[in-house]
Amino acid sequence: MGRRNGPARLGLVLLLAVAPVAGAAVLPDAAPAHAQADWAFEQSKDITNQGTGEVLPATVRVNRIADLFDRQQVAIELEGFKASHNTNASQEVLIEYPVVVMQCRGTEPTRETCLNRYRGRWYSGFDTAAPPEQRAVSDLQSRPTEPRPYPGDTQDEQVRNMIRAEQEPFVAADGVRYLWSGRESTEDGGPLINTPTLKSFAPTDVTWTGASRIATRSVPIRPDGGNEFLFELRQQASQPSLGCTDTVACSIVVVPIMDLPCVEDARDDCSEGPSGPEPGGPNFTNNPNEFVGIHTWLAESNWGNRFVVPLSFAPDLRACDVRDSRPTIPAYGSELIDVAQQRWGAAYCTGARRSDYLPVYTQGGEYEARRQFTTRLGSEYQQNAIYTTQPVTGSPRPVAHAPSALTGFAVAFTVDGADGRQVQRLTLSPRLLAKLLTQSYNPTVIPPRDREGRQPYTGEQEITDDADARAYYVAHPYLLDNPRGLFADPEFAELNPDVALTDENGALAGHLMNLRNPVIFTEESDIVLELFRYITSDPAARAWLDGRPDRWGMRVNPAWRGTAATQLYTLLDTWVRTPAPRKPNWLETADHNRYFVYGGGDTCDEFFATPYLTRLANITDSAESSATSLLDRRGSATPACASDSVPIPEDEQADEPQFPGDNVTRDVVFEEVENNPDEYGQRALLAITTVAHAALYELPTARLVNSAGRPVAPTPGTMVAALNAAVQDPTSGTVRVDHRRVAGGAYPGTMVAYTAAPTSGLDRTTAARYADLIEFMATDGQTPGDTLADLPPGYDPLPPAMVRQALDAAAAVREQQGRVPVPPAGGPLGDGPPDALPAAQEPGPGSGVPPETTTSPQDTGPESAEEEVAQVARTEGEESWLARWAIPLLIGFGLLAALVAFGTQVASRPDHPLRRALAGLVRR
Amino acid sequence: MTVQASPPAEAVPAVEEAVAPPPPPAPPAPPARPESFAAKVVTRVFALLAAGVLGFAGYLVLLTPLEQDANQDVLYSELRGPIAEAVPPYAGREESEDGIISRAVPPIYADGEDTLIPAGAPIAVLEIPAIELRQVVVEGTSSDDLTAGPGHRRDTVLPGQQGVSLVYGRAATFGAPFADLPHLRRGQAITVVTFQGEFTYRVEGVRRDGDPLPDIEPVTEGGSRLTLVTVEGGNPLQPERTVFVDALLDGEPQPAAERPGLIPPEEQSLASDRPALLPFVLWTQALVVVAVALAWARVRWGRWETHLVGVPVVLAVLWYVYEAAARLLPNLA
Repeated sequence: MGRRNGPARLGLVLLLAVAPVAGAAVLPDAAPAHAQADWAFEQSKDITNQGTGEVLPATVRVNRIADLFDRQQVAIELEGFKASHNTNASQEVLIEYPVVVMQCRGTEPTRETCLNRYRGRWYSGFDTAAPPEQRAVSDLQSRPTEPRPYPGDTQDEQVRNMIRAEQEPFVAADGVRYLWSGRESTEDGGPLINTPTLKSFAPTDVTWTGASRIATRSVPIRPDGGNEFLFELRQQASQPSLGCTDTVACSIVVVPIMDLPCVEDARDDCSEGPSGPEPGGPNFTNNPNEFVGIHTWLAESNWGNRFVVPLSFAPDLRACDVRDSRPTIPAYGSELIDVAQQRWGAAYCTGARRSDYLPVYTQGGEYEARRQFTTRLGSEYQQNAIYTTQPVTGSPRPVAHAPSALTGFAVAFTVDGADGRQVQRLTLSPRLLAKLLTQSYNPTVIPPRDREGRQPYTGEQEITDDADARAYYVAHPYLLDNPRGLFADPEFAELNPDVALTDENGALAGHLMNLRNPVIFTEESDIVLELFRYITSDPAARAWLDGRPDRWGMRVNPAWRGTAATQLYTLLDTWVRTPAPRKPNWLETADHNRYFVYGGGDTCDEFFATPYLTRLANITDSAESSATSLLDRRGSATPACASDSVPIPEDEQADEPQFPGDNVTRDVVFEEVENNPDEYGQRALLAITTVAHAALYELPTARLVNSAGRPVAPTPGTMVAALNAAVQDPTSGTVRVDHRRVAGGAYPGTMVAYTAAPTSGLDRTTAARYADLIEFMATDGQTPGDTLADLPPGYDPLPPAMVRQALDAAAAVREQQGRVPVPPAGGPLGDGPPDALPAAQEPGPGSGVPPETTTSPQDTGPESAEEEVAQVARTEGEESWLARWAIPLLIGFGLLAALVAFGTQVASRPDHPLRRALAGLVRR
Repeated sequence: MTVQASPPAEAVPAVEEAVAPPPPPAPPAPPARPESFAAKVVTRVFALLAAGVLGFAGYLVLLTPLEQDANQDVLYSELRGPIAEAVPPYAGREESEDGIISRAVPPIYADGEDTLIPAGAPIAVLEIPAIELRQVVVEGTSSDDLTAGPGHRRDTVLPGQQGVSLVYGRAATFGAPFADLPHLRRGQAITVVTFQGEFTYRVEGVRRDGDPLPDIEPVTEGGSRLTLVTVEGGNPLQPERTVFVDALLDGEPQPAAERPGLIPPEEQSLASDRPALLPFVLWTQALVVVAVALAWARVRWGRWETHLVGVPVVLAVLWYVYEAAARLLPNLA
């Protein structure tokens, strides 16, 4: 390196060192555009009816496509599609020209990742544009006389090849392909194909009916070309075969079904068009033309018109990082705080709320919680913090009760009126609730006029032929004169004049005629107790429960007469439906014939003797499952009786048939089974749950009549208003609502969830953490909003007096000196109402209400501004400051050090050549 | 005798003498200020610091490519044999449809021991003709592993197996094998040769933070995707952000083998090798010891002897210090 190059090299190094610094003016990232539309997704495109050539300008709108959680419902609006036929049919799958809406995996899903049980290629193969695998199947179908010639030595082998060819596989999230065929092997009754990668049956998270476990819809289109509805979206937790998570992208696929351009040798009905009537009249057919039904969603002509709506899910709130090594702070109890705890827990988990501990919430009944709080197991108490509404009594340790959530119980409902549209508003009085909960509606089917001339059948009369049987009927002895269900109750009609209950002939709509018990959970719970307190505090309901008939003659079920408020819901009616007598050849017939006795019981009644009203009861184990039962469109009632044939082991088989037609190798087993889920447009179910759960799943909640006679729904602010009627316990400071004083716009179902924690006996660190948690819940956690650490919808913020009470309790817990906080002197509203209430929600999401006429269907919090454009799963890159600056800094620092060294040397040697040169310059 | 009278004053001066007259005494020089000890120390220290730091920078920029090149040669010679013999799949088990489990351990690992591939072992040769890249890929993605060449992330499948395979590579130091990755275009070929055969991938695209993820479907349907990860920035010496190149396999992949579910934090993207802190500290201490020893030797021996012995020793220790320090930098840089 010569002296000439020295400065050049130095210059280069300096340049390298300086240039990045100079050029490091960071270009600001372009801010992502935030669309402020009401609809999060809107797409319009022309769809072509390939069969007729008609072009339609169709539009799909979705109100929310980002940050979705499991089982959230989004509002979808369709416009400009082809009108459907046969819309009066009892099932969605019978509709002709429907629009099929499915959830699929992937941002550009194929037929194989879309969740739909109709996967036969037959119909679609007649499309002129059919891909080869579909055409091959329909070609075989076209030969009219031969059975389909699939190769195979045994019948099972032939069937295997047949379903492999005929079914479009569904690829589950784990890569396994399911052919979704219901056929079983004839040899052993098991599935035909069951290899690790290919299976002949449906994925295990889908029942045989297919309808309740997947959210796929076959939506009818009105004559004006549109429809609006709610569509449920599922994450991995509730639909593992799709496997949608925050990192696995999914979409909604909308496929309009229209006419197919048929090949020349197609079956006649391929191009015949619909066989059902156009919408408008009451007629329908149960044999629609399947070529224009949901079956042809696979056809290329229909698939090509699809709309794809990309979705992005929020991280599963229930999954916390198992590697989180922070100490856990467990708390157990009330479902009132369940929804908030899921959210706040996620805030702790993801770091939105910073702390050195992790709160872990376990759901449970409040009675069990209080028991565990006061019981020792060895040297420790079973629980050190619980969520409860009633105060803890009998605790060996001094307890502080800190208010943590203001919400209440709710009666959620999914009811479709006689016109098929979802009812948005329902009013219930305490007495109506009493009727619903005391098993007092008439479950039997015989109308009053048919009882003339007939006798009740007790099971002891002898019946030898059909004529004899017709003289009898079976009915519940005490409920015979009561209405058949809530919607047949005149009191209901009086309270809900604007709910469309009757069809054009004035008769009650078919789906509203049957007795549907409300879904309720059986667990010792403060929520059930409060519900019954609400009912029994009402004078009219109290009188009715004691036996007085209402204005129309309905009486309480004697088994429930005189019932008082209880914390555990138990089914008290024990009447077993008398089974109709067997015909002599009962064993020999496949369907086990019985004589027809009106209202007579079935074989399950005979074998199991389950009380009939128990069979009709919808019981769950938690308020949350009550709410999701409405999403599943059925409860746990088992009104049907099904039989199955199971093989008998060889050593237990009888030697010879016992009767003609007896199969010694198989046995018939009976089972009480649930009905199919209700069809959309025919739902009529209520559920007892919490206000927060109803808000979470976007279920409309009923307005409850308070003691002033005014019906109030649990909208924001109504629960704070109920605190005016609160009664405070002088020892613990807990409040409960006095139902006789709830007036004005106050919601009578209001309840407050308290965190109960001991104020002595805990070690300092744990106590400090519990105190911190209580403080968080009462302050930051009480801001209504959409982020994780905010208060979710369904809760009202705590008023200031309760916040101070909570902080006081937290201080007592932190001190651990045994102090029990004094309840606030002015009561829960002593310092006035809370500052910020959440924005008023539209009562219930709009199933038929487009956003232009009302507020946006989704919850609009104070900052509804964070609507983002459609998002797909995105790359998360990383940046490293160290990578960027390591080398330049090294070079810079090195040069600086060299400069310092050089400078010091110059400064310390006055005869240094540089100094002399400088001095010379200056002198001149 | 008669004394002659002395000559008068105007007598000529004496004959010129051969000795030059003594030069007039120079004016007194200003007192020479000795260079203060503090200044000397400061100068020395900063000079050494400057040399050390600039030396490290020079090492990173100029010498690490040589080191990596040498490593690549060694790894390639290790890898050639087993690949040529087409040794059956390793590192785990395969279960066929009939339920038969077959397991094989490659010859370069301890026989009979059911181990996963140890970090640092060569596993594949990666070739990208479009950017003239040909590198041996090692197992593991810590900063240390990546000094030898691109590294395969251990909790993903091997290239050529069904699923998504991640390969990390440096873009600034140690030969910067992946520096040109962002220039790849869709459709260009990437060839990977492993024990299981030769696989050709086609580039799907280059993506960065905020870009949509590639479609997972081809992978769930039984395909294989290779994602190459590196960093890019304003200039070659200042990499900053991660950039990803995805490629999809042409043809059938091998079944996915077992692999660890969890990798230590230093093998994550843009992570420094924390465990490298220990050798760094130890070698720095060694450097200090050597410096002290040299200072002592300077006094006892002499200048040139000390330099003769000391310079190689210092350079050697300094090299190790630099190497350990390089491992502390982010693994993709």
